[in-house]
Amino acid sequence: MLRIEHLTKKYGDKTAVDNLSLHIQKGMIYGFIGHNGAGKTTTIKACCGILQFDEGDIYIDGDSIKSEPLICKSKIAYIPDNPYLYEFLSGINYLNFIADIFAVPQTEREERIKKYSDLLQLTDDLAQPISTYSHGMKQKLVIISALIHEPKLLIMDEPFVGLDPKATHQLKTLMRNICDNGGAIFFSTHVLEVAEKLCDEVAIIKNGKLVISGSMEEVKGNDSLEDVFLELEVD
Amino acid sequence: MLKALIKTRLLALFSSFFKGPKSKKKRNKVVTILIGLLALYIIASLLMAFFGLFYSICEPVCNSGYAWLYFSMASIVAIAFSLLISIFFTKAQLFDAQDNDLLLSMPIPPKYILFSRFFMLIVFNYIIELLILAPAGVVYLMYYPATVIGTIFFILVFLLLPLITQTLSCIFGWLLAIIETRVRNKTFISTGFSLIFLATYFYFSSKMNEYHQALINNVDTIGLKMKSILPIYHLGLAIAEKNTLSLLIFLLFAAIPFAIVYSILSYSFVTISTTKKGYRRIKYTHQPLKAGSAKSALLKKELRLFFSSTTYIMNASLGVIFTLAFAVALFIYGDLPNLIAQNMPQLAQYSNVLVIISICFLASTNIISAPSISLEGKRLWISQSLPIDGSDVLLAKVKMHLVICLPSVLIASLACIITMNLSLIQIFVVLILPTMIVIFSALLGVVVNMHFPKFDWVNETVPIKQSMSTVITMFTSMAVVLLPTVLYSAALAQTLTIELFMIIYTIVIIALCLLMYRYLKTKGSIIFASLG
Repeated sequence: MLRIEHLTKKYGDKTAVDNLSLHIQKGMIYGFIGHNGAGKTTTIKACCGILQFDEGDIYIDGDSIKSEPLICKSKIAYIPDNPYLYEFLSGINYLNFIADIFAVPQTEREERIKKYSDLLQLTDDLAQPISTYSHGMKQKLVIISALIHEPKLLIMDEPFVGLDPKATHQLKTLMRNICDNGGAIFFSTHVLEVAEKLCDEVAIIKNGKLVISGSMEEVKGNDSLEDVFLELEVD
Repeated sequence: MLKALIKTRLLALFSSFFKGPKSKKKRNKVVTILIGLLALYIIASLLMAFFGLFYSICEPVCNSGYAWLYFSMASIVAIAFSLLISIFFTKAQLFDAQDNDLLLSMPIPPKYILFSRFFMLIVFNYIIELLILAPAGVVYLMYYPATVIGTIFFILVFLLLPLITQTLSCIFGWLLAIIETRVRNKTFISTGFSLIFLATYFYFSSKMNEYHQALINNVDTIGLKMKSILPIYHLGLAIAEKNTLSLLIFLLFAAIPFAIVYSILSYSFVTISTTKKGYRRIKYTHQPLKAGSAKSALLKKELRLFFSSTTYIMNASLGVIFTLAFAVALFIYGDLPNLIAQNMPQLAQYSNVLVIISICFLASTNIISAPSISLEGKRLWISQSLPIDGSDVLLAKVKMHLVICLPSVLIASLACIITMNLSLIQIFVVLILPTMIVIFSALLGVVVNMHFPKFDWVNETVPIKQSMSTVITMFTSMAVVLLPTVLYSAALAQTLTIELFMIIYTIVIIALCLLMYRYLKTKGSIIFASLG
């Protein structure tokens, strides 16, 4: 579903991501772990077509983000680490805007908005301006907007930050459902316990370079993911 | 601690005038120079205008034995002008400050925070009042000798005057903040108040000659009436007659209301700062949603952004209001070209064209599209991650400009056709040229903003009022209207008929618009994708 091949991104002299290659298959929740400034967000933004990169390529369901960005973007949804939204819109106006962009038919959009806003308990607040939302409410709105067109691939940067325990649980269930229905998820997190329980595969990145990747069992063996991560950080 | 707070406030005040937000990137020198020149031009224009005003009234008023009235009038102008400029700034600083939570979480006494804000507001008022009282003082000294006591009293009055302005601003800001907590559409309220203030300003500005003449003709009557406004009367008396008692009375009138307002605010500052701003909560119930195309969704989003911001409306689209006012004036005054011909006979043959050019000029002052890319700010990720072509995002910004500006221009063009005696070619020009100028400004704003974006703003005022994009767009659009006019009158009037020149000019503008449109369609996506 997502194939990152020899991705390199430089900011001036600094190489933020160095020759990174990853392969995320259908039905898989793929965790992306690394310290602050390791290159996770840069990689994620490059996968979403937000950030231009210097070398390599990224393929989404076989299409290159470089040469077919619109086709790629129509298959994915991106949830950023900081939900900066159009604060001048109400929640429902924002969702309708996203649905218009993805050309989601009226009946489907109404059904999905109802389903996900009820699930994440945001329905009552959808008429309010986004400017009145808390961080967690904005995060929930971004999640609903990401699911409105039923993306094949969900790319998320620290998706659990700001969510209450119930919403966190709902999101984890949603993630598993998406993958069970043939989708894929690529997400970064610092919450290693969540990654350990949720992810089918995991990659650890350090200073822009891939340190280790593979199935959760392969990466952590008999240790906890936290132990493995800390050990790799020391090295 | 207090010193550090005051220093931070003053730095914020001056950086908002002369610098953008903190950024690792050095500000382009050209924009600094352009903004500096613009600021100098505005300051010089204001100083000259007030100098002219006081020069014309000083001698007749003072010679009639009403020197105090001269200073009273100068102070009234200073208070009114300061109020006009600082009233919304005061509200933003005292009632809507974004950093109160952060400051209150630090070990800083709340009274220090409030004092530092008041200090900055009073310094701001000093700057504005200096623009009025300095010319007033200079004019007075041109006619009458300076005395030590008179100068000291003048300076003391200058130092005390902002207390009156600040008291009034605080009361208004407080009332406005209360109103805003009770209504849903805050933009409507604040834009409405801004327009009322603007209309009041233009009304009194347009009547200035009448008032000025009335003052000179009726000094005695006006002087008698002004005596009843005690603080203003004693203010004038203190300076003109070096009356210490009057200075003390003025001091009391300025200081006591200020002290009361400051004490009330000081007492309730923590409550004001920490109370969550109220809004009427509407519970959403699922209802049918209207589906539309991606392009119409983008346009609707741009329009919603525009109409949600008083700052955006008031700073980028005043030309719309002036164009509509111009159209109304055409209907009211009937044949405007005849008025031009009567007052300026040398321009009689160009009077129709001058009216058309005036509409073009008013249309060129709208800069709605110029900050539109910058206004994406930290939300740029949304447009960039969605499956939409970058050029569609950019063209939605152009369309927003057109939707807002074109109706007023078309109304003004129709007003020309109805009220003026135009030739067929002139009818063609008045229908096409102002519309093309609107399209030109809209396209230019987006093209310039593509190359000079500013995404690291905290307050939207920065991209709207203080960015390179808006400065370049504003000056270029205005120059595109004014320079050909100057060129024709200076060099081409003898070789080309005005009508032929207008047709050539229209064709050039159309060509420039096509070039910019093509540029947006071909390069827009690539440049938009690389932004941020």
